[in-house]
Amino acid sequence: MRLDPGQLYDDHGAAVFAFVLNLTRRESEARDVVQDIFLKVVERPALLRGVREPRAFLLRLAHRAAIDRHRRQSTRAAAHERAAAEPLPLFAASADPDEAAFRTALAAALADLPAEQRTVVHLKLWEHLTFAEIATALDIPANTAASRYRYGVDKLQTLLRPLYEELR
Amino acid sequence: MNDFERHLAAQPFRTPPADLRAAILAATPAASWRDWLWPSPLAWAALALIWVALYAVEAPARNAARASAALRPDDREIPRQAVLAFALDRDRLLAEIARNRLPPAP
Repeated sequence: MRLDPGQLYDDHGAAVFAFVLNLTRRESEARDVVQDIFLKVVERPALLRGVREPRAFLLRLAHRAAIDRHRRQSTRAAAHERAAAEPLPLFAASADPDEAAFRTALAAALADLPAEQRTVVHLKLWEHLTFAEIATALDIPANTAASRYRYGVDKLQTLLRPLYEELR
Repeated sequence: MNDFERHLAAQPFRTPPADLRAAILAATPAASWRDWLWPSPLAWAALALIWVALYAVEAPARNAARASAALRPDDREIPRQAVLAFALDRDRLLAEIARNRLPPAP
């Protein structure tokens, strides 16, 4: 059966976009990466044959595509770093000012993390992958994934503790 | 996962740009014959094998039929022989009539 691109996007598009946006911190780049990988999978449905977790597979593809893109554009790496350091509307808006402030601070704190830690933190917290699944997706040992997550979350906790204590 | 991590995990990401879905669908190639064949390539391969096998089994029988057809007289010969037989019969009848012709009247 022909892969339904609309259904595939509805099922996974938002999650893949959020992941790539958190990774690249540039909306235009996230758009391009998401479009590239969805078209790739639609044109070659065999890629998804036998895949038990399409979401994890798409995230893996997205991670590779984002890294490849970043390497190709290495001359603009400094600009990327600057962009990563700037607060980005990463999270949904909130009517609650405290929650909105926390989300803005969280986006900034995530930008402070090294990309490797940010990637693992995202996959663990927002995609609920196990360390084994993260290890597979990123081609790293599971222990490395676990330690990157722990370092990342500790740093987020240090940066966000005051706001978090206010919210509680 | 502690309370802090659960609180982080509960923060919803913003939705993708509204036009991204349409852009992806617009760039998706139209359906081609491959899309019809792809879902069960093994079934199509099996069908092709069956056709080849049927051809292999049927070919000797077809050759034998062709050979026996070559040995049979051509159907077009049958009317020709009938015409020839008719002509021979006519000649024989005329000769008989000529032999039995009465002498001319005095």
